Amino acid sequence: MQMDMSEFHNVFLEEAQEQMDLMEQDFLALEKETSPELLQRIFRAAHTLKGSSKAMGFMTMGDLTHAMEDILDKLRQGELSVTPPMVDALFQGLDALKQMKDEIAEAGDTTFNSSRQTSALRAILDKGNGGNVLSKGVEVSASDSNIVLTDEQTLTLQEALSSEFTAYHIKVTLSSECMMKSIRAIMVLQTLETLGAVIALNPDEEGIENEQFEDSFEILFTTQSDPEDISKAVNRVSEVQAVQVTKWQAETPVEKPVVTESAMATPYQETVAASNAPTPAAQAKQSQTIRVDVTRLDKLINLIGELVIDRTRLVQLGMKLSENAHASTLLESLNETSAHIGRITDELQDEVMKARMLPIENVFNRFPRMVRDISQKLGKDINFVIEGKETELDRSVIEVISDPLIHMLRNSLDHGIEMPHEREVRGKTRQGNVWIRAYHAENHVVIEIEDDGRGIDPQRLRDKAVQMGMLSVEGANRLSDSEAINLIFASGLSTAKELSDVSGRGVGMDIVRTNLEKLGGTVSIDSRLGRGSRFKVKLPLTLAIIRALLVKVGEGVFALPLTAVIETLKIESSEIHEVQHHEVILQRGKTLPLIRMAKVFPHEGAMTPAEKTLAQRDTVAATQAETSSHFLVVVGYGEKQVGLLVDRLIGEQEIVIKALGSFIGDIPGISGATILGDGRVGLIVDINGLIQFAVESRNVVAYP
Amino acid sequence: MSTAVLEQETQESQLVAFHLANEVYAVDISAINEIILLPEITHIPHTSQDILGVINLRGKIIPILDLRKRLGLPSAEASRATRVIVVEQAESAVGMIVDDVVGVVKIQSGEVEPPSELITNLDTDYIRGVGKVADSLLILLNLSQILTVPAIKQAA
Repeated sequence: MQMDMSEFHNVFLEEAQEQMDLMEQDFLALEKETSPELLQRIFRAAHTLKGSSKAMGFMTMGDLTHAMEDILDKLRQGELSVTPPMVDALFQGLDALKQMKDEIAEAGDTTFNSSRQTSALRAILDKGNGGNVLSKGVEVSASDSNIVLTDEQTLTLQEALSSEFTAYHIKVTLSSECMMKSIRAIMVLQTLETLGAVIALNPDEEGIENEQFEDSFEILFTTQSDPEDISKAVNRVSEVQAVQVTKWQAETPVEKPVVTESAMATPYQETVAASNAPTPAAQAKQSQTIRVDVTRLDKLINLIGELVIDRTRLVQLGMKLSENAHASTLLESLNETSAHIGRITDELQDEVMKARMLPIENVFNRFPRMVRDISQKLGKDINFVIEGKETELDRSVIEVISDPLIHMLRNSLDHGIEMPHEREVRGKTRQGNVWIRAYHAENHVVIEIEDDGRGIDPQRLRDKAVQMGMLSVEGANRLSDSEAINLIFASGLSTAKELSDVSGRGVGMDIVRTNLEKLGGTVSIDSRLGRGSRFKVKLPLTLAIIRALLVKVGEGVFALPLTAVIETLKIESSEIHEVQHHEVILQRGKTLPLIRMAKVFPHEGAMTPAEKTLAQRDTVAATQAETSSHFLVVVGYGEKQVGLLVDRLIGEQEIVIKALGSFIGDIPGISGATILGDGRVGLIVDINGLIQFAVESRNVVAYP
Repeated sequence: MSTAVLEQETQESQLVAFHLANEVYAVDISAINEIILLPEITHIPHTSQDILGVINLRGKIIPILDLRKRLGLPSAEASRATRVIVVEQAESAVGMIVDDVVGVVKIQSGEVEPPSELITNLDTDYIRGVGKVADSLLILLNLSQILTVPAIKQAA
């Protein structure tokens, strides 16, 4: 029983989350449109939530949703109309629900007092009462049915009846002045489909479409809704004059199987089922997807990671064998098999990756509400457009991109978009526009946040940087406009004249960039003064497996994420110059600062004997570093470039990221480890961290 | 009632004993995942001096701790007898290098004395107690301390 409880808990929480997400989106839509479909959908979400929370014993939650449901019901019936205070009250109710849900998720119960929200909703409800009452009467009386069932229909009916559905005979009479009876009739049928399933019609479907009836037609309908709800729903269709809902009397009584379910499960499942009113089509669709615990997918991806490693190893072994052994059929078939395993591993990896993909909708859906709240607070009029919300990316990325995006979005709302009157003065529309869009580009996901606001003034950033002592006046003037705009990513720089509680002070963009770069992503900005700004975030599709360039430094192998690598060069020692004690090379007329990887990642310290014995094997590699040829990997660092001096380039490879673990902790310039094809461990370089570390330890020219 | 007392008196633990600088040390057998030969270690820069690096243990990355160094004992050459004891603490595994592994010993709880500076000059934080087995002293290590205490930072 205890087990059952917790299982229901999780189901409840998951469903509650779904309903709340739905409500949040739909409340926003409510301010723009009030279509019957929308109202019906929100009402049903609230209704479901009310039922399930009461069934689970969370009465405060149930009461609050009940109040929301009542308002939504009145909206649905046309007895109330949407007002901004109403939407606010609904949102506040929703926020309270979320809080209660979070408490339940954490502690198993909630002590949240929602009486304020509930009474606010009730007050709106009371104000609206005493208005127009339903004009169309509900008639529930016996009627003589003219519907004749085919065998197939009888079967469907019996099936429905045996699974807790009730069958009704519905007679709908349209107004005699109705011009397009068939259209109205189809609307009635569509309305009914949302509540249950239409079994049979008189006249039949074709007859209805061809308007082969006078004013009334008949429907045999199975549902779990109340007859009252059915007639209300049908009455909402215009030009419906009368609706008769009668319980269907079958000639052959359908035997109801005794339902033996646990007492615990029944009330909950019933409420959910009743409110969802699943039509057969909906049920069929549900069975095609299953919920999978994410930890299972994580395990799968780990296993595939191992497979990827072994595949590489297998290829290497095959190559070594062919060097030593004479070509034989045995060797050939080994190579064939290893190639086949390689292909299958690739496909498997692809498929499991796809299984872990989620549409970015999961992140974007929170934004409209945020934009609404912020623009209200700031007194700005903002049109927020989401594009490409179906773009899919890995769960691991979804989990971590929300915060940086929120930050950039807030910046656009707060600093980007001007006040309405200011926009008018500049000849713009009063309403500002903010776009967020996602799309795939090669092996990346690109997310853009764009506004048509005031743009970023490069001169102001130059001044600010001088004022903060970050740059000299000459240094600042040497910067191009785009370089100056990129100062926004420097730490401690905020150009807003006054701080606001929306986007705060200048601790923002540098952290945004650092966080995105930690994920192997990049962020760039494009801004035109007076016209607007566009932030462009480029992220890898997944954080579990990345492509990297493997390099050898001393005896160690390091993996440089390919997202950061721009090019590789072979240089001679004579090409390295020293400028103010910092090493640089000249590349296409520009100086490129150098970082000697061997200096940043020294194999220092007194080696233990255990290490010494191991190191002896690699002494050849160590002396190789003294030779005059070097390999340089040029990596991007924000808008800047740095050359990393390495001993040898090994090649490009897909690597599986593994954490170093808490025992080792954070290592400057290292983001993790990976297992190489030969079974050895390689270290994954955190480019940003490496450069920062090098700058701090003065191994490289400090940038302006 | 009296059974509880009885149980405590006769509580016996199984330990794995090993050598470090001519002394016998031991850790509880239940903490040990496995004992392996010294594999190739990948050095990690900028870690504390007693962390030698990481190894690949069947697809897992395991940090390797130089136990002699952590306990402040003199360093020694690796030999054929050198082993890595892989222990698990708080869901993460760590390998500790030891001179050699003696084997499993049983010890009664009554035979363990609290650590004393008279018996050993090691940092007593790392020691759970000292036991006597067949006339020789056995230093019982406090694994949770060894694996969680902030590592000795590199000399600047």
